[in-house]
Amino acid sequence: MFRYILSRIVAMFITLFIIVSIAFMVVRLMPGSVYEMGGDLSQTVIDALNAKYHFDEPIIKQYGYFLQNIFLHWDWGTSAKMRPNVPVFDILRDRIPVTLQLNLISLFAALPIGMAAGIVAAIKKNTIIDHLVSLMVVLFISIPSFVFAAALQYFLGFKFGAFPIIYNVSATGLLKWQSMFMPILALMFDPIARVARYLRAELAETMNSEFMLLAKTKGLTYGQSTIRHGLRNSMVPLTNIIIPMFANVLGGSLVVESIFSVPGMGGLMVDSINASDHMLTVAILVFYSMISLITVLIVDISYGIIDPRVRMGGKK
Amino acid sequence: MKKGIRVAAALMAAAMMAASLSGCGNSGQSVDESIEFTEAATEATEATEGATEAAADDKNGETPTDEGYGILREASVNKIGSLNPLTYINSYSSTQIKRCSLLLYTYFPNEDNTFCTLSGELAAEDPIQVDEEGKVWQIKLRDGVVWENGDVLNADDVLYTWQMMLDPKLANLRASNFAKDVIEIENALNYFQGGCTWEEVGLKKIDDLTVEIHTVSGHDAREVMTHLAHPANCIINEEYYEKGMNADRTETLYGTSEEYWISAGPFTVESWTNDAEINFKKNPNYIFKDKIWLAGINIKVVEDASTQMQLFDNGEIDYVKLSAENFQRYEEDPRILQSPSNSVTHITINTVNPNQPILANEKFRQALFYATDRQSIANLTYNLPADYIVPTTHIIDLEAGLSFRDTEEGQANLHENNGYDPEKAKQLFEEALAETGIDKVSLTMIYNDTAPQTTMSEFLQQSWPQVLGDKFELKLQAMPSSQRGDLMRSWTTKPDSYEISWGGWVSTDLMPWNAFKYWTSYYSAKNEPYINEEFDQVFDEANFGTNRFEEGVRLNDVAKMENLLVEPAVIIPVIETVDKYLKADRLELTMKNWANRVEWGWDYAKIVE
Repeated sequence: MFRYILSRIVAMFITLFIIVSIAFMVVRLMPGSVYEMGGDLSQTVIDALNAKYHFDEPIIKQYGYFLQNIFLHWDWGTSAKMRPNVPVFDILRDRIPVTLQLNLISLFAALPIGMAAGIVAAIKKNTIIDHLVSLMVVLFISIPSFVFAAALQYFLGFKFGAFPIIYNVSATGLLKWQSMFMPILALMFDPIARVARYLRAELAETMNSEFMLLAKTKGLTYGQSTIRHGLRNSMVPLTNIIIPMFANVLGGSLVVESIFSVPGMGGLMVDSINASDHMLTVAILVFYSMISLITVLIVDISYGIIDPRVRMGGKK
Repeated sequence: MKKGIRVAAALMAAAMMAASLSGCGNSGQSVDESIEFTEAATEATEATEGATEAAADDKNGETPTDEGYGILREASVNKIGSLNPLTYINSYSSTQIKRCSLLLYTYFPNEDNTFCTLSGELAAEDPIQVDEEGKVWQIKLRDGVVWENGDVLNADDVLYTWQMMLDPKLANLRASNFAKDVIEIENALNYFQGGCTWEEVGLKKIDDLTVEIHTVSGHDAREVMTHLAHPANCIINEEYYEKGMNADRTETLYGTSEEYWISAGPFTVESWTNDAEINFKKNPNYIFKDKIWLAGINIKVVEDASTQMQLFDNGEIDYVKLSAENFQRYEEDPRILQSPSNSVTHITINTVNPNQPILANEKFRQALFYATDRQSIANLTYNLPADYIVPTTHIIDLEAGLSFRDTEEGQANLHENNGYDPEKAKQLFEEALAETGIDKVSLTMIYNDTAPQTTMSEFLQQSWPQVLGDKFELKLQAMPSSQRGDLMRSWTTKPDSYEISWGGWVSTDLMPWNAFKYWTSYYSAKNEPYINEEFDQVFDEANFGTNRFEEGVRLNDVAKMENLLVEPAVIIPVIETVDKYLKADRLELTMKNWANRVEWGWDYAKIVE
């Protein structure tokens, strides 16, 4: 198990290195120069800045400087446009907590609701309750979150004044939670629907299994057999969708964050590409890649922990 | 079951940690958009006119107090990025930098709040001419000026700012504008490029309250003041600038967060969450604190236009910029304020594109000029039709407040029916086809995927073939602004990078002769391949010529430069943009009308609850 994890971690870093290299090349080979902004910059300044940051040298030499700074000084560069001179990971550090907070809370709030809806729908399969849950699932999945966000903002925020129209960064205590309510709610609909749909299907199938029949014949009540055997067995496949959901947590939501003016990760990538802020773009790509790779690693390892039947690397 | 409880506990702990992390992770900025200058053109609304009368019995008192009264609440789509005047990127940032920094000279509302006046802020008086040629100027500084923390601000700060601005290792974005724009400072560019020592640069400290500037050419006081009034020349603080400096002195964090910022201007930065919100507070130490009524300004970054409208309708912000759609809804509202944006939107033509040789044909370009129905486009976008390049806001005579467009020379460059003449367009088009031997023309216009350019491009796609006939076709290609800009400016290395597109420069409204620099052959970021020796000569005469101060010289030069661009249709002017704002009743403007540079004077407004 330990050797397996170690080999996966080594493979993860090799993958990350390849991603970093590709990201660097792709970003640097994009058309246009960082400092040709069409404004009042003279060629003298553009030349000076290109020389300062080695943009005037062949791309392979630029790549060499890039790796040298990372390995020798852990220096990933500074932002050129979005926040001039600020180290790129400092910019991410400012943005991540807000995104993390909203998305984690929305996910943790959505999971029990989605699971409850899925369980009820499975137990009451083919009844009006099941149909209502299915309708809710279809609506929540097919309608994009920004539609919910805009509707919530207009009705709850603007028309009824129940919550602040936008996220309030400077508020504390109850006011802060109030301003977070609508973005969290807007982000909840999709995970609720996905979990409910998946759990309903899994649980409905489990309920018809032979071992469930055996459990009942052993004398367990309907509730006992459902909770002890049906639900537990349905939870393992659910991990397949829940853990990757956490990977998306740090990505933020471009539109929901924009609607509620949340200064999170959502629009950072788009803004940095549009601004030709190359170092920041590379840093964001590296960050997302890192999160994805770690998530994949966790998912693989978690299979072994959650389900004892799974054995790592084919070992017994 | 116990395992499940442990998992749930771990999940809850993670959620709480995330909550606490983000709770202490505030960072950000804020924003909106900068308007710009014009003459004292636009009339004030009824609400504005009646504003000053009600001042007597409000909580503001008869004169501004040290604390001020009321918070001006703004929302903006823009972000500040940096308050460092030497490295800021966009004009919105410069607006915020000026709110909390000092300049040697700046633009204030005039005595009767109808126009702007250029006068000393840190400078105690106009520059003093030392030599006969106008190449050496001394500037006296005000005594007793202090930073937010009470430290004295004097000639040492000014010299430090200038030295850092030109520092070769820092390579600041704004260095060359300071070295050479309206005036050229002796050896400044040379020092920036590492060609001489700081002592050889024409910037000297005479004493604690006097600095001296040596220029390459002779100038008058107004040119020196105008040059120094640029927001990039805001004074920086040595202690904080050095505090943010890295080990090899190539970058500084100055102005990137509260920790690395100190104010000396009308307002101080009370709190700042990057990319989200900034709060300014009235600076009781500001030299002209008696001009500031407000207790502070709160700016939130709100990228979504409809959210901004909801905030305004909900009484949470004091003014909002209106899109064309929203302007339709509020067109008759007396709270509407209109601001000329000091820019003419024009069609840019890549005349050297080898795939479209007809673009090099003057008659073809003129055909496009006369085929453009500017009035219809202006009606669609709620702007002004423009068959000219110098906007109505550009002042040719500052003392008289005379707009270039109101002069005889400015009027002579205008065309009948805003330059829309379908018959002439058709005739020129046929002649162009005959001259070039081309049977049919199919052009591609690249444009920003934003509302105004989409509307205008789609209109031209329909209207041009109607005028020019079925031998003409216009294709459209939308793309993000930055990508379009990169494509346009790459014509030097890739001549087929684009065919036609949109352009528009925001330029020096009080020096229209300087605004033509974008079409000189030596401008670095040219959108179109226009190189004309005669144009360069006229530009140089207006900006640096020895006879430029003589009556009528600059007026004629501006008219001639405009003519050189418009008549051969090097570019095709289409509309002059007008920004529209909706103002809350609690906001009382002290400006009686929109004016160049100070605009509606948001910073000088009052809050009347």
